[in-house]
Amino acid sequence: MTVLRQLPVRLAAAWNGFFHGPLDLRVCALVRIAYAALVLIWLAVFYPDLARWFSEDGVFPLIVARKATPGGAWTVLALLPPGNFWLTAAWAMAFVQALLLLVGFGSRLNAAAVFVWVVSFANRNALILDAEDTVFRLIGFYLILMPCGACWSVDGWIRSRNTGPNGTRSVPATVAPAWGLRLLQIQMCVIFLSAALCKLQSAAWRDGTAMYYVARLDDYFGRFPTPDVLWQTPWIVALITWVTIAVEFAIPLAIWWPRARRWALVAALLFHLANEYTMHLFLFHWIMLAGWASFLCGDDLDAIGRWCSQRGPAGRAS
Amino acid sequence: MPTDGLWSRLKLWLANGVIVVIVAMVVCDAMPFSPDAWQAAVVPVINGLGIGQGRWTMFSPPDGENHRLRAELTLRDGRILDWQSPDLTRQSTWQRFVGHRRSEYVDNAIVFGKQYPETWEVLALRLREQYGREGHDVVLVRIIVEQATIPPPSGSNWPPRTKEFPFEGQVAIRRKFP
Repeated sequence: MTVLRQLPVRLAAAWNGFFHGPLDLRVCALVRIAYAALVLIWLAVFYPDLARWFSEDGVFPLIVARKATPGGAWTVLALLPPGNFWLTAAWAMAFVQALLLLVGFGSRLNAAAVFVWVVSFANRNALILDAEDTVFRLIGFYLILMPCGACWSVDGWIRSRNTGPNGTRSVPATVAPAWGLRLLQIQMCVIFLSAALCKLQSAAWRDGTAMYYVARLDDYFGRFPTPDVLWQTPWIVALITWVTIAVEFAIPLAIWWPRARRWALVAALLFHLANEYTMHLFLFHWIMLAGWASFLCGDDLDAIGRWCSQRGPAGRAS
Repeated sequence: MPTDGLWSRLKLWLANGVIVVIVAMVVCDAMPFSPDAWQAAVVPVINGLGIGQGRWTMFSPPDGENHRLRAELTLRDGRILDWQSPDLTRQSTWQRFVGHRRSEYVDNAIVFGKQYPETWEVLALRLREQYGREGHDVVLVRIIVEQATIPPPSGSNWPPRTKEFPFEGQVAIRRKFP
């Protein structure tokens, strides 16, 4: 009876510990920097074809685009006055705000602005979208909910230089409530679990032939050379197919177990890099890695910092 | 400071509400086990928030076809010009990276064009304008969707990955201009 009576209290404590416990601000900063850098590349690739993809003189005018847009989706590009000047101006503003997000100036505000731009460009032309554009929207959204500009940022630097009423410098914060970052972590796991469960519903993934087809899709596969035997031998193809499902199931489960977290992160890194090597998926794997970076913790960053300093010029000299 | 305590509690409850609503919507939208009716119910809200995602199908089922787009442009003097979407197998990694959106356009337009022929109408119009700027008087545009089916694997040694499968064309639209 005592255990039952204490259950709600324990659950509430666990909930609060998980969502509202302290978080190392450097992790949010890392996600912010990686995300903003990728948004800059994402936007830069649009630039030569801005009018083609997003203007009324392009291949997808608004009247047609609205038919492809799912219910509830919105784009501020629909509000722009006609003409390519305004489109270019909107693109330039998005680019500048992504730059400001990268350096961490007005971070939360610019995170919100970049999110609005990413959603707007993505929702304006559904014909050029891929799964990575969805991940760009998602990470952008969760970044707004995180204290993403408190560390490794111009905002943090300005705050550290501000003096209090009695002349004392304010001490920069190093921790904050975790819930914004936790939502991103949950989202990353949902992506992998959903992908794994969808694969289980497909006969080709269950019978081990899915990667035979994927390897022969000329719009995605064949980025760098791989031995032909991998894609011609039935048992190897089946193994790659099933390992893909296993990895997509295992990572989002193992990553919550403290002892397995680092191994799960390494597995995610290798999985995405292997896919990046073999497939043309633009920025998909890089934006996914930016999302998985939310699972790093302060100790990992310290360890990476130590590893880098040992292998850097100063470390080698000593 | 009772006001501070109240404000902190309010913020905590607000954050908890946001967490529950977002996680519930994301799960309903993304997970294949969530009933379609639930997904349909959350779609307008989650899209309004900008975080609509749908099921993460990711090659399930894998596409069994390769696609190209081709157009034949008939000029007023009877000559026929040919326009072709890029042959991706002959492009460099860099060309594929910067041209990623163009290859997405070809893939998605073929799917979307089946439902909304306006997609092809607009493409035909743009091709006519593009060639018109080069001094060609285009009177007819035929857009052809070319598809190569990847045959199901059989036997103990499957065809090489680089083997080309034959493309078959199907006219998507035939648009005359006065």
